[in-house]
Amino acid sequence: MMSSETATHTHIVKTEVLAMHFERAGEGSSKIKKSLQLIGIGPELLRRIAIISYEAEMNLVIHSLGGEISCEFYPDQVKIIAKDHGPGIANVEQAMLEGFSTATDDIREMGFGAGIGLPNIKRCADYLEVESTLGIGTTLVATVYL
Amino acid sequence: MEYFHSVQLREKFCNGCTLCVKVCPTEAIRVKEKAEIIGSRCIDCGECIRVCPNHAKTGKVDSLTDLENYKYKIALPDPAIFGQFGKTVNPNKILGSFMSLGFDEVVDVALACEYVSLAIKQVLRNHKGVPFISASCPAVIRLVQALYPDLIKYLIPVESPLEVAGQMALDLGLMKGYESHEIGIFYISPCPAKMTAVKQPVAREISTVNGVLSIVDLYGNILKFTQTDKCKPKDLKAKGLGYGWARAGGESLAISCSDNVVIDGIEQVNKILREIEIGKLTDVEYIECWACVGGCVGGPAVVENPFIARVRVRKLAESIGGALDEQKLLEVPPQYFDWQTALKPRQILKYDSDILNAISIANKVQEILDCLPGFDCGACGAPTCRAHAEDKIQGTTQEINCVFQKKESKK
Ligand code: SF4
Ligand code: SF4
Repeated sequence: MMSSETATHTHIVKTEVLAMHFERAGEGSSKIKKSLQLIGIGPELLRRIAIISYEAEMNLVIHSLGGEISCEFYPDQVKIIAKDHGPGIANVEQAMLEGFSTATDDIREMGFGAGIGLPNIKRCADYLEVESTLGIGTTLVATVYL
Repeated sequence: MEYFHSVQLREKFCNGCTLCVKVCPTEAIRVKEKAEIIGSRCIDCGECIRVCPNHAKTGKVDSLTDLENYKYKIALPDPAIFGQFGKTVNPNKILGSFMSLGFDEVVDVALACEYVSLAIKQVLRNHKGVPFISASCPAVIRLVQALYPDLIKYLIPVESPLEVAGQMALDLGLMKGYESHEIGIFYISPCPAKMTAVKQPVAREISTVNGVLSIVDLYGNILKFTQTDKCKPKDLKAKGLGYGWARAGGESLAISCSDNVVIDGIEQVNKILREIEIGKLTDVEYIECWACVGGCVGGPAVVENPFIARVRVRKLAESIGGALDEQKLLEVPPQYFDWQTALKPRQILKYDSDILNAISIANKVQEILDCLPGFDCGACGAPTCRAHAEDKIQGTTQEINCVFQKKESKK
């Protein structure tokens, strides 16, 4: 919950993401996109943030055991935060590389997990932090300056 | 900027049922006692016209009496008209009937469709990279401006058949010795979106077309005239591919693009635009989009069932056949296809131009939203609980009107 102190300067939009539920994949990022429009983020930034939130959400659906995607609005920046409860990424640097995917063969056959998620997010974000602990989970924070 | 829109409510027919509220892709409708359309949001897609059981929504168009303002009157029948009548009505007579209706000349829009197809083909030939989105359905263009402003650059910058036909008609009138103010050019339209495209064009200051009549309004008269001997048939001058534009897929056929997708119906168009926005769907060359199911044969201002009309148009197009010859493009000045002004985004949802204010409004909306059930049932007259909360914060509604409200808003 946000404190009433900061409440007027930040706005938070949050959605729970369920692992492997492709029928609802994209709902979190839809909600985020709508709020970007309501807050009046311009076309170019809107698209970059929309791509980040979609890829981050898909990462949660495909690779994680479930988690939550949220968007925090500040007057000068927007943060997309994807937090999951595992399994964690063994080698974060490697996962950032183009073409590297930890998706299982099943998922690759479905046409997802071609390993473009993280590099794509990196391209669209001004600043990207990924913290991961095996067995615990991953937190991704992508910042876009307005 | 004031936005023109053509879809209107006929109050006396509206019983306030709220059915239209939920189908509007831009959340433009609220029902208080009766439905109200928020003008800046309406993209004239016609969904509310289709869904209203009381026929309370309608597209405002011109009427035949407006012909009296001009000396030389030219009709531009949309190709969708050929799907409206059964086997017993000769298509040549459909064109001829416009002379009986009081016009002096007819310019077959299918011919303009041919030219536009060739012009699009040229643009595609030199194009690499992200796919182009077709820009012929004015409702789709407005949806892009409103909800997908960053995709404006993907709309193919080629004038629509409507404007190209308008310029052809103007040339014809001038050639006959009339002055431009004496020439009245009327589009015979399947939809209110094309009325809006004439009254407030997106890629030019003023349309060459002077007025718009709807197919549904003229239907009865055309049917009658085509049955009489006084109505002289007029030759169909376009190739089959030109007439094919009336149905979804016809444009792609005419530009001979096989690496394409065709999407019809505003809901599906909305979905695909979203996919394009997040960088999917890069592996095709052309994306043909129509607001109406079936394409213009499914327009809100036509009479016939869209599936039947679609088959008829296909049959007509196939029976005429023929190929498009690139040399033909030399018949019209190249600038006819140019956009004269840049397309601008239309930020309709934005809370406030100041981001701090916008954020604080978002939080106030959230506070109210936390007290609403989130059913998005529409009973309050707004499409979603969020929209209702926004209306309250922005002062367009005085009271939270929720039939299920859990508890009073704290503030
Ligand atoms: S025409 Fe379309 S955009 Fe306009 S009010 Fe009706 S449903 Fe909404
Ligand atoms: S698909 Fe055709 S009839 Fe329907 S709104 Fe678009 S231009 Fe008009």
